[in-house]
Amino acid sequence: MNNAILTIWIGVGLLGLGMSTAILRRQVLIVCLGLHGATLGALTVYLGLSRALERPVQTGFALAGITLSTALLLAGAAAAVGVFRRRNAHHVDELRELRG
Amino acid sequence: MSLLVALSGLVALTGAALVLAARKPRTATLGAMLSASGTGALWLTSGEPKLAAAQLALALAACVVALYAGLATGADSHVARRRYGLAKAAGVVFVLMLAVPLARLLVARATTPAPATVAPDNPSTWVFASAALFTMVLTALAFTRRVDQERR
Repeated sequence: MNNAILTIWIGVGLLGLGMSTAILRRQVLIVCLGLHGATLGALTVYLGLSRALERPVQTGFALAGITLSTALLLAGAAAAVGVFRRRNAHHVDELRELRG
Repeated sequence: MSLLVALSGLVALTGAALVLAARKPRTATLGAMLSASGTGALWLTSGEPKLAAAQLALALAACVVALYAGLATGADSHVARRRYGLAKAAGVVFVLMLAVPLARLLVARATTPAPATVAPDNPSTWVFASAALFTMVLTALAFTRRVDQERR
């Protein structure tokens, strides 16, 4: 199999697993880790597509995606710690029930 | 080359599956580190060393922070003091090892007209790769401590 096509399939797998984690899991931190993985999967698909179509990779776009996914994970970790200290809860649905 | 791509993809997918199946946040964090390393290796084999280095640096640093969060919010955080210390050591070592190639790049950029790059033949890449490996080993050590040993 061509390397670019293989990269695209791996990216699709990462995207699917990441989104499944974000949908199926309850803990805030694990949901954020899943979204981080999904973003990396989407960027891997972009990289594979760029190679398959023989187009140059837009470095700025890819770096923005990497920074976005890192910021998402850091914000999620901060939110998980903050909410756990205040309300002693770390599940997404518990947070929803606590909303006034 | 296909074998390398397949292997790094397998590592990345295994890490992502570990995140999905993990019971505790710290296991999920280890899975995320594995996934980020596999993705970085995949991007490196795809001929994007700069993007791979940036992705690895940011993802591993974020995973160390997530590991703190996992330990702080974990149900057994009262017995995880040693793990917490090892995670902290991993973070410090990671930042120190990352500071060396970054400082080198900044000095090279300031002293030469052409911009310095992180290429496979650049020693910074090897320093960075060893920092990433060392972080993984330290984090793995943090996970392998048995809880009942820490209770004594």
